[in-house]
Amino acid sequence: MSWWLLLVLAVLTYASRAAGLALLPAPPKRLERLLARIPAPLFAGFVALSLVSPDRSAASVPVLGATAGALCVVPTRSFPIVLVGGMAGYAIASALT
Amino acid sequence: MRWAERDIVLAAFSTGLAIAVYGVVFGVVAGPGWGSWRAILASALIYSGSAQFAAAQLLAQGGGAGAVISAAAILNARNVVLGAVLRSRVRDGPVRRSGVAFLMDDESFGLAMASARSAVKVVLGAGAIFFVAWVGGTAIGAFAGSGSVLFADAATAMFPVLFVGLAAISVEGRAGLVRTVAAGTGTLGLVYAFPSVRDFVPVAAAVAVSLLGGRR
Repeated sequence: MSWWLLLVLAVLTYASRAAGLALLPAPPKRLERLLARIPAPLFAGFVALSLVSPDRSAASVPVLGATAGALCVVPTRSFPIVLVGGMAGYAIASALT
Repeated sequence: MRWAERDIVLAAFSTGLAIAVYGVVFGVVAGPGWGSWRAILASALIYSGSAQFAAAQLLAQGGGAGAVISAAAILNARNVVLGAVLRSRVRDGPVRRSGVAFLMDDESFGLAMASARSAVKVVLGAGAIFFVAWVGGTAIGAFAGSGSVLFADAATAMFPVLFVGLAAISVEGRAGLVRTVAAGTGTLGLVYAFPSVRDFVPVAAAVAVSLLGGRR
């Protein structure tokens, strides 16, 4: 990793973050309504992304267990409870494997 | 319904712990090839786990600068969408938004969208915790070596748990639930089918399902 490459990557990453947040004007109402719909599906996508490795193998059983444990307590809509559910799922799956 | 401050603080610190472990892993991976200080500086200046891990992997396999830059550009493309979504909740001026942009990653973005507090304050507060965790973890990994990655699998489990929680709190109405489940299952299938573009898939799926389903 040369210094110039490190700096290029730093500038590139920052520019991608600033492009949407700092350079764009406030979105019109109609677009704002569309953008407001995106977070929950996006988070669900991130969950899915963490369950499949780049080589197409599934995540480890404990990670799958943690996800299942968190999903079980989703109706509570409480992060501490989701966290506990995830930890319990991780512990149970680890004990079983 | 949005998370209270207590939930955001708990989520920020527990996620920060997981990010620190990932930072340790990055330090262990990149430290020997890049040099410890350069790996730490990379974490401080680039501050993007996916771009840094991709760069470390490509360079270790003999990849050139062009491949590394292309990979980083592709991986960072989703930040534009995240920034645009967050922009709709930020009323501050361009200078402040430019400062906030440095600390906006997947996790701080998620907490900001779930929080009842100011999105800028959440990104700055949680982002500062994540930044310190990432750079500090890299330093530990770069100097302490491979003996420090014992909890990597437990840290891996933290990320889906966090995003399950964020998705749960962000869903609004039955149509929103359907879109969320569709995006999750669709992403799962597409990531498996097209692993080479996996980092694009969550954003593409989220945008696609958000365009469907009428006014709600």
